[in-house]
Amino acid sequence: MPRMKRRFPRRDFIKLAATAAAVGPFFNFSPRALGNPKTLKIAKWAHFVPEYDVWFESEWVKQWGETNNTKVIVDNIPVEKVHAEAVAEVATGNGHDIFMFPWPPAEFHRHAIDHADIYQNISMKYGSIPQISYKSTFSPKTKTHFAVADFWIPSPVHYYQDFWAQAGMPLGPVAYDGLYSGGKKVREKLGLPCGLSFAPTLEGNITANTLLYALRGQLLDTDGNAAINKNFFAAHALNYVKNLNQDAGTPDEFTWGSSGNVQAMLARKTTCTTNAISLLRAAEKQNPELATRIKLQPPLLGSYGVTGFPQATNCSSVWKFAENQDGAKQFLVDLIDGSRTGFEKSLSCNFPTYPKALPNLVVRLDKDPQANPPYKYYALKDALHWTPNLGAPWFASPAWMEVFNAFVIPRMFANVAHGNLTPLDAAAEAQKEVTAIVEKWKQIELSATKSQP
Amino acid sequence: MITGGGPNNVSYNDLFAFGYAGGFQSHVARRKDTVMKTQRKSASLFLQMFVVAALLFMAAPRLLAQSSGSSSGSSGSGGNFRNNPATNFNPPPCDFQDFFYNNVGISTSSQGNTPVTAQGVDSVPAQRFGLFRQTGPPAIFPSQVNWVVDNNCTTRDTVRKNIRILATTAGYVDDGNGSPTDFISIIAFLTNQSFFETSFTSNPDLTSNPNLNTGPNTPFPFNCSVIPVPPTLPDAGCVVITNGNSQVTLPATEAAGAANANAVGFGLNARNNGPGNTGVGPEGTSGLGVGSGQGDDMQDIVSNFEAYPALKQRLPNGTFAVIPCGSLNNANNAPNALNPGLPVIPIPSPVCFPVNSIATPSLRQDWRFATNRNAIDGSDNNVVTASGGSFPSDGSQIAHNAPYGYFCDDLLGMWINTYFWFTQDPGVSGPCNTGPNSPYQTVAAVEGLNLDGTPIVKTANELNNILEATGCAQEGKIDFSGNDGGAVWLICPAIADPTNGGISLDAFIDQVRRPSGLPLDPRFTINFFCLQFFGQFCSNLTPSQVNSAQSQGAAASSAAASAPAASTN
Repeated sequence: MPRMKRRFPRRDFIKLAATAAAVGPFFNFSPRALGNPKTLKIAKWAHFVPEYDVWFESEWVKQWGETNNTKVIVDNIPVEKVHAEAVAEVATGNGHDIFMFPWPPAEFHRHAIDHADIYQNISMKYGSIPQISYKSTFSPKTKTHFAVADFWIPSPVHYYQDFWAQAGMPLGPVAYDGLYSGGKKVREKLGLPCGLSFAPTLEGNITANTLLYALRGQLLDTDGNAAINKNFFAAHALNYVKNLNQDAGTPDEFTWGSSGNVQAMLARKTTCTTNAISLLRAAEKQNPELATRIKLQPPLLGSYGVTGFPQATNCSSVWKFAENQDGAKQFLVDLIDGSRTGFEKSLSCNFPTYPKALPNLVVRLDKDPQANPPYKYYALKDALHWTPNLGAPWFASPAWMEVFNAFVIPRMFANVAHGNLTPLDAAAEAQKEVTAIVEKWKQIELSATKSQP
Repeated sequence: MITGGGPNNVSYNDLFAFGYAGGFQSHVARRKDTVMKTQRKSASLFLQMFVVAALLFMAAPRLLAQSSGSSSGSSGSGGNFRNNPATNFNPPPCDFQDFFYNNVGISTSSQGNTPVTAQGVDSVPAQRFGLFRQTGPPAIFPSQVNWVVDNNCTTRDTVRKNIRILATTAGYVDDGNGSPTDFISIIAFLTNQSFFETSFTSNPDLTSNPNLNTGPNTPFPFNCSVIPVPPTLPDAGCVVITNGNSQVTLPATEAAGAANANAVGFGLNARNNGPGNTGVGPEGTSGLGVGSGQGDDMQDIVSNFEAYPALKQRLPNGTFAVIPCGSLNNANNAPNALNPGLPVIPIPSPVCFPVNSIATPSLRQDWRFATNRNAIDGSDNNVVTASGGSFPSDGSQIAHNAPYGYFCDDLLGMWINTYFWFTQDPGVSGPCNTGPNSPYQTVAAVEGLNLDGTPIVKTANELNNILEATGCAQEGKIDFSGNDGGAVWLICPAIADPTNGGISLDAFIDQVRRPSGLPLDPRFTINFFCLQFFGQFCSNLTPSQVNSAQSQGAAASSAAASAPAASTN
């Protein structure tokens, strides 16, 4: 593996500039700019904050391409189509060089190169691999990194303070018990439901999996076997969601499309939800007065503690079939340099995985230029502490991520809420489904092991 | 039916018979060798202790006389450690000053007479020590008082009020091995979210003039030159708390980075006051000194520290209630929903146990305290990733989700109450108690039975992985608006280090007792006496010292029991 070049050092630049000034402008080229132009194809999930995508494509990528004598092509893919698109690419062995997922692409780990040397290069400047990146992109089976995670997006509670104050809870829901009792009171008093999404969308998937995890339910056990039905925690979570929906929620919670919970909140049709702060940013943009009434809270306290999965974990994989692997690797190394601007352009949504890439994160959250009051986003200060990786408490494994992408958990909740199945039956049904997925991956791993020389 | 086989199923005689051999875990160290030797001798201890206690009872001149302004003094042979500054350096617990409450985001308002309308810790529902509850529970004898006026408190620590707490509540280390080594002071009850300041301003230089604090809930004059109105932030001189968040700006000298060791008390709800926040120093640098504001909402901090009150489920008429009253009496907690093998009951159930009091007589077992996902002593290898930590790829370090340290961030020592209960009557056969491997039997075999006849629970593992996982127990938080009438949160700081003077001679242990008056778990009692008379956990003492502590404790208890009723202010 050739050693990747780092960005052009300042010292070299000064030397080069001095030389250039002396001998003329004819040789003032970056080393990377030499040679024939190359092409780098990137598939990227469409960000919740459009401004980020605009910056990424029109500025960051363009600048990187010029510096590296590369024509970069970026294809934005709606979040709900990312999985299918990736499946199609690996099926044909053809497509983009880099595929950026909003979640750990563990299912595709066999089709991705080992990204260990990319992390190693990044570590020269930003330190060793952060925990959330490590557990989101490392395969203990193959001992390889199947992606690079450069940022993640926390998913706090959003609530209307004026609505919740009328239930005697001006500081909003803090725990799952309070969400139920307070949400019920608010709905009884105002006729407005709480609006957690449990639909088969990214928002619904994150909310449903978070709730299950916070109430001690787990998809897999320590050996990687299906564990939903191993105890009564999942049944309890199912019962909770059924009652929450019935007494404090809305039927729409199970049928919303992508961002349905966001639209409902912006229209003041619901009193609370969990989501990326893109919701609050949209409110600030559309109706600043409305935005002042929306408050943020860390995830709800459950019996497993204060915990909430990230709304997105930006994981970039370089395919084994990528035509420009060297360029792709260099791009991912350099991408960390863009963390600071990425945070700004995403309106504080993108939390860099490498703390050194944005050392003043907390200060920025404390003094947000758009928020009213400016410290509104300070509630996210400790987001890294309450945000586990998808797959937690274990690594993001192929089986866990396939369960995630097949929306097994939101469907399980919907079956109970709609009265199709009892909580126990729904948990049993999900257990079967998860078991089948686990077994499938065991077979795949077995075959891969046998085929190795 | 279940039978208790654990060590807690003992008579008061066992207090002496099995003494300190119950696997104590000192905060400092263990001495298993000493423990084992003592165990062998313990059989004859009871008789000896009884005699010694009787002698001491006759000789001890009001050993535990409770008097204002004094927390030290001679205590016979065991109290010698108090005469040496090298062994008597930990202060006994005192309440906090009002300004300290205010500056960390808790109101000291006296407004509101019901749990729903109460506005602060000076209100009647909060029952703050110093204002209420001088006698009565947790004190068990008429002569006992729960707190005294002690003018040394503020002298020792300027953020402390001259109210010294004598009632020392015992609890298990929930997030460890359940050792009986936690001791706390239950100062006040918070019954709704209004206790958290939503609008408050103060002078930051607390030590020079702490009475300059102000706000709608405090009587002191306002000291900022210009009242800042959010989103406009103050330039200097104020602590401002708004809408559950807060804002602090320090005087120019501190803002410029000059550490001010006296600037204690800006923690929790005060905003980040580091140089980075003022734009003077490099961005990303942290705040200054102890309690330098982190800007966290107290409500969020407290969510990381759970106290587990175990309310009696057996009602006065002998019925065992399997669900709490109030907001938790809902379909989420229906026993049958938690374990389908349990009987179906109507929801809301008319047979429920009250949650409006956590006074000791209402408890079926002693408290459990969990600093949750962040060990106080760092033994969990907690790495604060948000502050720049990162991990080697070999997984040798782990991340924990709690960003706070109890003694570092939770400056009032607050807890959120997590009520836990059993979902099956132990007197009726069912999935929770049938067979030796049933959840009830499994836990009871190790820990014994509580006053209700259900297992004593000491650790999170027992509650979560044995009982709740099988639907045989459940936990929950009561209504945050105060509608349930009980304590949602507590001001009850753990005594950071109860050794070396942390337990005063006039303190007394508050623990769950059997109807006979004997302690449910005597190990708390013994540890308390060891700390009180020798300044150490029993595991760090010699057998003879432990024996002495026990006898002195027994004498003190006898003296307190027979003393005339206390006069209260």
